[in-house]
Amino acid sequence: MSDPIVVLRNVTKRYGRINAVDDVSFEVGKGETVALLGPSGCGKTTTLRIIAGFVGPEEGEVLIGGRDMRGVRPYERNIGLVFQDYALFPHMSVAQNVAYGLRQRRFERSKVVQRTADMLALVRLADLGERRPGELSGGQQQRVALARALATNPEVVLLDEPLSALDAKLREELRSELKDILRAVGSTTIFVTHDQEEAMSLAERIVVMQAGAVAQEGSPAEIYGAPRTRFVAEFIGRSNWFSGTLCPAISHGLREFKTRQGVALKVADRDDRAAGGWSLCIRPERVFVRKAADTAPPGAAWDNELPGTVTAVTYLGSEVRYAISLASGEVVSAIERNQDQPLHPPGTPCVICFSSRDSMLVADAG
Amino acid sequence: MRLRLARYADDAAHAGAIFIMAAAVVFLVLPLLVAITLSFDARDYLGTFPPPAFSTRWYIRFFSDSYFITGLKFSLVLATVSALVSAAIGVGAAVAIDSYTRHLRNLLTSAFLSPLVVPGVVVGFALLIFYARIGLSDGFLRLLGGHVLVTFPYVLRTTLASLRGIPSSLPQAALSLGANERRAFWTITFPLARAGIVAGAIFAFAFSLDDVAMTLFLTDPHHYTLPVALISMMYANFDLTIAAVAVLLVASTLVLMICLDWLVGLDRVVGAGVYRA
Repeated sequence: MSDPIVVLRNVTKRYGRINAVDDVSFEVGKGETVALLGPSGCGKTTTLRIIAGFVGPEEGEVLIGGRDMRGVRPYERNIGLVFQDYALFPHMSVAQNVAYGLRQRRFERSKVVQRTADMLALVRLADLGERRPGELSGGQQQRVALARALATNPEVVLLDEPLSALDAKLREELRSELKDILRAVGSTTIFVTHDQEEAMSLAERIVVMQAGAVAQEGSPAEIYGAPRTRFVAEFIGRSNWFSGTLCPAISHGLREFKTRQGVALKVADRDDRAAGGWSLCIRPERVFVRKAADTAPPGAAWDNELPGTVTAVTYLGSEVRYAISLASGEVVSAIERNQDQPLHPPGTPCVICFSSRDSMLVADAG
Repeated sequence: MRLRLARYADDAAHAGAIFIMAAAVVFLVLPLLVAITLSFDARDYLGTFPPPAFSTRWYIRFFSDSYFITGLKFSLVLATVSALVSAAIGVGAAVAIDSYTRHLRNLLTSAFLSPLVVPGVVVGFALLIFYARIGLSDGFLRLLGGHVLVTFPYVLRTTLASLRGIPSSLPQAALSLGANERRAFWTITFPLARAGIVAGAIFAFAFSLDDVAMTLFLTDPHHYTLPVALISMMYANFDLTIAAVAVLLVASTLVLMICLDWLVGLDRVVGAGVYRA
């Protein structure tokens, strides 16, 4: 990262004995969109409020645009903030809301009018400038809040659960719109969310937080494809788990993993890993189900095969989900894209197949 | 059969509730109607009800009596100044209290609202001794101190209710947009809490206008309010001027209440919050 706009170094915030934010460090580059992802109470919102200046950290430092933010009040920072409840001023019109920051930052009068009009046009609300926020729909309010935050051209835009107050359908619509607007403005953005889909679709980089600390940081593909802990793997997407021990290498790049039930599985061995203390994780969409009577389809590198019985089938239109009870006792879920293939009804003896390359080794907690 | 009995019982209970309400209304309104009627009594003496003839003589008498008019003027000035001072102190205290943690907030609120539960006689007597000790002799200031003491809790209470209704994200949004704390207060918090502040100030005004118990202790021959003037007149020679003044006071209170309702909505003032989105 050549030009980090926001830098957090070893930031810690305590509430009583609890570390709400625990030694958090990350950087956000110019024009980058970063998601702070985690369950409620993981410290992501506190981290955002520390960057905004509403909360002072006990330890560590926060830099915005290279400037140390210690003792710098929220209004002395150049940030744009979109609150979860949007926090639109109910006694002002939409245009006055958008102009508020420009007025406070003492822009010229003509500039205020021009910039307000530009921002309203950007969020496609040019006609609604005279309305009161209370007269707008949730989606429109969200856009006003965004326009207001972006109007003063802040160094960094902070969004607190930007889409959580909207219903599911609208959320997806606004997500792409939000992405377009942020890209059009080229703003540096940090947003907080508990919705992994939101994080994956909006952010270039995700910081997964757990109990106040950073659990893992990386691109959506890295987080999903190579989770470092079981928490990260389970929080991002669905997963099947086998616990067991890692045995010495079978051949170059391939190792044996012996589950607690004694089943031997093959796993790709990317790094040199110590034996023992690992869990094997496989994403359901990488698990293929075939009838026990059929032979394996050619071409695929499914080098792990386990016999079992289909216990449940859920038809979801675009995909089909299976629950398979293995002969060794575990229950595995599999997701297949619906391409009008014949379904395996419950009770069907089957074989699940997955590739050693899709088997992710995750260190056990500790 | 049992079902029908239950329905009869329900109906009876409902009718009972209506009866109690009607009785309460009669009990509240009837004396008022008697006072209004008597204030227009044409007789010289307090005779049987209803009066045989009507006139406005008691009203004329009131407005031509310099003793009453001095009291009225003093009452209005005192109530206005009390309401303004109470509003300033009440808002300041409310803003400070609102920023504290819940525990401290409850404690301070109870402490500040305590003048409302202490009898006016006690407050008046205590102030009398206190003023003597500190040597405060100005008649107006003595009364103003007492009135502010008992009226500012009204402003505090309504303002706190208003502030409670304002999400903390609103002033924070203002701060994030570059407004300093003072500007955030004057441009966001104050306008949103204004209805509650005004409501509290009107309550303060009405209470100041009405108070007798505490005022009696602090009054002197040159500084007296209208209610005090009425009471001393009652002792001297009882006539129906008091009924005329009562009607005038009820009418002005009614006007105030209508103002309040028009300004903020009475249900909001009496209810929990006065914030409107």
